[in-house]
Amino acid sequence: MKWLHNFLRGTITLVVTGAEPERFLNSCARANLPFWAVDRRDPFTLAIIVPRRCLPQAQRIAARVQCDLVEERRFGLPFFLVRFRKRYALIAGLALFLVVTAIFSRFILVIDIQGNQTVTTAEILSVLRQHGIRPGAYGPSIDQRDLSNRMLLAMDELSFFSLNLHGTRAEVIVRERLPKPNLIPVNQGANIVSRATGIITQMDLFEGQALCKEGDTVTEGELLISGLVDIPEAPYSNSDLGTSLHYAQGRIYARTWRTIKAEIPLTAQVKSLTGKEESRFSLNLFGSRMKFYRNGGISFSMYDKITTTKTWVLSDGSIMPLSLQKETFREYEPQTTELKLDAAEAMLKEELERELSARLGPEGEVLRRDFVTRMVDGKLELTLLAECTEQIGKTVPIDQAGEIASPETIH
Amino acid sequence: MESKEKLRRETVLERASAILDVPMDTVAGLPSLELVGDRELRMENYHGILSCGKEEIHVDGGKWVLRISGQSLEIRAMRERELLITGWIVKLELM
Repeated sequence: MKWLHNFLRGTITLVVTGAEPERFLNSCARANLPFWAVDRRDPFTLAIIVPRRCLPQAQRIAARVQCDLVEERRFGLPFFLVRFRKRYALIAGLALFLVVTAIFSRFILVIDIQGNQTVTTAEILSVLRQHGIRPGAYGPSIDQRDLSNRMLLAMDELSFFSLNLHGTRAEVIVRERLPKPNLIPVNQGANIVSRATGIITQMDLFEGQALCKEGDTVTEGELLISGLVDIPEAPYSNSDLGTSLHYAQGRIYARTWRTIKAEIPLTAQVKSLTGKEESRFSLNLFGSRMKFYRNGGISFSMYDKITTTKTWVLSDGSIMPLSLQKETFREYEPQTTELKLDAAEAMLKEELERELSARLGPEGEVLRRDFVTRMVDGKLELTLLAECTEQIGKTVPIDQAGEIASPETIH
Repeated sequence: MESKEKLRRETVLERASAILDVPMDTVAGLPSLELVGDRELRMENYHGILSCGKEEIHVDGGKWVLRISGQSLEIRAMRERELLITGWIVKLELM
């Protein structure tokens, strides 16, 4: 610790030469001039170490006691720093570094989103940007409580929002709102109708009156479970008590047959690259774009634009608000070409499978599939014949007049 | 019986301190020595250094001179009234 103190304040080794160098020591002691490490070199010479600031006083004392004083060694930080007093650029650079560090550390460089599961990070960042929170925003100017309220109002999916600033990193913690359960309306009734033609294989009735049973053949739109349930008559009574209104619920599985067609012309327009291309570069810093080109127009009449962005990412994965963007424009000419038959057929098959899967839903299953290929007027026509098992019940609300309202998809 | 020539003359302040039973170093300004083992010697109310070296240091105590003999002697700290000497102290003499 003493060494560090001496290093910081700077020390000088003085060699005192005279008839009585002890007089110099006594004078220094009387003048309260601190010194240490007295080293007797010979009867007329001794060396001491004094702090840098005491040198003028030591020189006056030496003159008074008629001793010669010679500086032998200088040690410490002040002597190291004085070497740079003429290096103005270094001093200016150091000052600029300190200012930049002090000022720029208050700006947000990275926004870290945590806690989101179904709401995407991009969506949250987009809403944050609308409220002024983006890389380059000034951190101390952000009212965190006000921002939290505004974000919760802007995004219904969130139930909690918090922004914490850690230097240049903004930590955003969110919690998503639990979805509201589907509540059945108290005074509303509904029927379940068939959404496809088929043979019922399984029927699960939860609410309502079943109008069909397993093994029955039903057509599209046919009523399967009624929301109007007959009230049973009392024994030994002939009076008709009418019906009661219910919200029919149930799951009806049936074997169905689906026929889906698709066609594609065998000649198509494709892009043929000419080989000519132009590239342009721009730099994105804190959301501001700096272009490195002057002319905004492209000389090609038809071209594809490919944009490549390279973002500066730190070793810990933090994304910096600095990116280099390269836009490449490639000229092409449209050319008419014939499609290969097998490639076109494969493309159509894939499209038909996708369509069938969408129609069946998540509970549907394909038992058997057949494809029929035909050429019609220069077009390839593919028909998919599929035998499936699916859930065919569809809830249709009953309005107050007892009539069937517009259909809605079953959940 | 001690010879009177070997004893120095007692000052008035020394005599008063002895009679009044008060510390002589405070009242009479006599030097005070504190020896820690054979490694450190603290001295107060000294009047100056007469000579210094690695084997001997002579300190002016006013009415007498203190001769410190030893090895690797060093004046560690020195102020107007306080002195600290370190090293291997072998002998202290009042001359």
